[in-house]
Amino acid sequence: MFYREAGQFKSSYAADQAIFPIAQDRTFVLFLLVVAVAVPFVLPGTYWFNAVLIPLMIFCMAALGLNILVGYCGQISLGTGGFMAVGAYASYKLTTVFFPDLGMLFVFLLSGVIAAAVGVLFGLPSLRIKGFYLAVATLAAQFFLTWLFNKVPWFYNFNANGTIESPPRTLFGAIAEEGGALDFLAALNPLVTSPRADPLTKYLFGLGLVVAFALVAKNLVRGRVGRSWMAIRDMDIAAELIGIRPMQTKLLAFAVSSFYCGVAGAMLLNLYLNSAETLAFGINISFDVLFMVIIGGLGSVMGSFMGAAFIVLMPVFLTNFLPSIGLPLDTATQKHIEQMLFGGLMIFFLIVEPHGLARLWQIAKEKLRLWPFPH
Amino acid sequence: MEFAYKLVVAPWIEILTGPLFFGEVVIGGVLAGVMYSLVALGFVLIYKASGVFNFAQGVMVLFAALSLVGLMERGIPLLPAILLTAAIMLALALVIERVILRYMVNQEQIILFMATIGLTFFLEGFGETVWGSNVKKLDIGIPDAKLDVSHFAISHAALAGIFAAATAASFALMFVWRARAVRSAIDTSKGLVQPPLIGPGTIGFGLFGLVCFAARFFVGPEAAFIGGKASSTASFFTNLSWFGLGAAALVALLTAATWLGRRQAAEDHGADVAPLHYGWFVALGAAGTVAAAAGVVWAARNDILINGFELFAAVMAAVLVIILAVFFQKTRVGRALRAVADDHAAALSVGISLRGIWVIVWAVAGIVALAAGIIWGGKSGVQFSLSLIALKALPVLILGGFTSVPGAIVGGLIIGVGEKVAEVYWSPAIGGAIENWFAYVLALAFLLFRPQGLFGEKIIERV
Repeated sequence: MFYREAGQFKSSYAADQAIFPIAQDRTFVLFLLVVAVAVPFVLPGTYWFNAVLIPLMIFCMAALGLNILVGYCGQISLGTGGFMAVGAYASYKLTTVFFPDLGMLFVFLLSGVIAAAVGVLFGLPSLRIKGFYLAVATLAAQFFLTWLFNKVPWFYNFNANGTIESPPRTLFGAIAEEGGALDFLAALNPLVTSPRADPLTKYLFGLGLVVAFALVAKNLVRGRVGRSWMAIRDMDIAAELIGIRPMQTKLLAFAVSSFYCGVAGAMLLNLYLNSAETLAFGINISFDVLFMVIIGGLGSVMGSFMGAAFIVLMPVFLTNFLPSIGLPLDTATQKHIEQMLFGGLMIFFLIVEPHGLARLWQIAKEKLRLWPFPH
Repeated sequence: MEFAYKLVVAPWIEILTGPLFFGEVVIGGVLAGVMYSLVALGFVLIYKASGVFNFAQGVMVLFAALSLVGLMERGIPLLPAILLTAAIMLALALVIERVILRYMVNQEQIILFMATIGLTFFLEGFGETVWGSNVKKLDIGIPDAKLDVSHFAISHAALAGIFAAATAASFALMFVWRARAVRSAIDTSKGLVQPPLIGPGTIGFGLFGLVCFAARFFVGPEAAFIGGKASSTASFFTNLSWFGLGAAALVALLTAATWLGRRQAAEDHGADVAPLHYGWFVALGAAGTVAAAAGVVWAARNDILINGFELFAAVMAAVLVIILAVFFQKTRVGRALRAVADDHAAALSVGISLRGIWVIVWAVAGIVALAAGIIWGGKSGVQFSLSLIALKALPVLILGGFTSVPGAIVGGLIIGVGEKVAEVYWSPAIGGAIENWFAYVLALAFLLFRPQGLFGEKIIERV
């Protein structure tokens, strides 16, 4: 318990339960949000959208999902890529076969639900297996799912080349198609998928999803559900003894996490890649997302964003930075040096701040609470 | 319906109608499994001693193989190159301890795990920057082809001599041990722990001798005992004697194992038994080697496909495991390693340097990685994908248990055999290319019954 001589006090229950109880924190998050909305209007060209901003949104979503599972519920999972594949393939089947008229927003949500169901299925072993044994066991999900999507032609509509493609769809779907009575809604119902869609629209759509789901996640983890997750994470037997049902709690974490990952997978296909095969959802994605969660900070919503930003921006930075300091390297060597730097930086960050970037922000917040009297 | 038939019925029919082919598949699986075990072994060593789940083991294999090939390309012969690479792996262990582990004491396991993934990226980039990223061939002079034993011949007289010596030795050893056991009064009072005087092993060797001489009688002294295909009689007796030699050695092995088991049981019940003589291990090892060698030659003579390179890998792995076992059980450093694996704090308190132990254990894991690198690199070329065998070793690990060396070996065998059998018999029914995930699902099935793996330490949880 902090012993507070000065600082920001709360005088109502509402203030006590605020998501961002510290004024500077509130301002900072609002500022981030404003920047996130404003930045695309300032940036020139489409490179930044396609190479940085849209992937950033996708990985924010995936990291958020994995952080719920690993950071809050303590179940290490390396199956993220598999669950993202479920989301992507579900969105493909939904848009092409089952509900061709459905708006993308609903497609994403439905894909998330399907991924959640699959997540629960592969979460079942977690009731018996713990720790790294579980981590390796979730790789079974990763490999099995990608194999399944590769081998069963139904999943890619019996295409000759085995890829899935994102069809052009609008945000809310055919209810507001042009020429109808709801024509005035067309501005609110832009094309969001396929290469024809405006990158800015795609980005804003992704941003909207991420912000909305971050809010949901934040409220989930600070409520009863989140507390029971954390109890399971800290010690599952003790949690069970105080009346938390491990099965429901763990499976709920798997479901919610897979929902987020599924939405992220659908976003990856429809907002970023436009066409993909199972290769795009490989084991590397699983490791990348786990890294985002750990670099960002386990058990922190803000940390998921920071970690995603770090891992997405770092290679971009390295790619642009290395040539600019004038090292005359061929592309292969440059790629290897990038890889070395990336690995080195990850180790460096883990040594300097093993609790992630979010921990730095948390320390700052503790100081800000008492600001301007730091003692 | 057809799918169900192909999944449930057809594979069994295939197995039952072609037992020889099934045998080949199983042998192939065992040999492949040994190669998985080699990688898993490195994981286990590090996890036991430092609690680090070392994901970089796979890339250490790649790095060792790259260094070895790189050195050989610069004109260094194989053996010095291997020694130099071992030195490089030792240096690597030192650097890892200096730069990473030292600063991560007492961190959570998942953080350490992530640090080793960072190390994976780094080593991958480093190795390929230094040695280049093109696919290289590692030639260690063992052809990757069917084992050919047709030119392998032992003269009749030599074999009879070997075998007479084996009978005499096995008889003499048993007599000596029995005398030793009798001297220890408490041993005999239990009546449990006397070694068998003339065990079935001796009898087995004796029977084998009879076969041998019968062969000589039928075939004649001029025929080479092995390798000659002079007549069907000769061929029959040749096969019979190889089979007999293997069977005799196997029986000797089983007898000894049974006796050792009873002795252990007596010790567990409080009997004060005499310590085991080293000769026992030597004899057991010799009998095991004879059994295995006879089995291999017998199988190869009967046209069962055995890959010579994989056999070499298996032998190398066995030698490595024996060396490691001796190192862990019989040396001062090994005892310190076991102490650290048992309890970090207690080990520290009796003056064992954790950091020193970490360097040693990473170096040992590096050398194991070198062995795996030689084998895998020799088989499939030295290239980036070599680091992906870490993903092959993970199911082996969870199946056997993170903390158990025997677990890594048995797990490797189970996964190797299961994978090969499933790939050959079941994968056509469900679309092929199942080797990516089958091992994981197999391991998962075992885990549901033993969450700590087959040989892992029992997980005890207290509130």
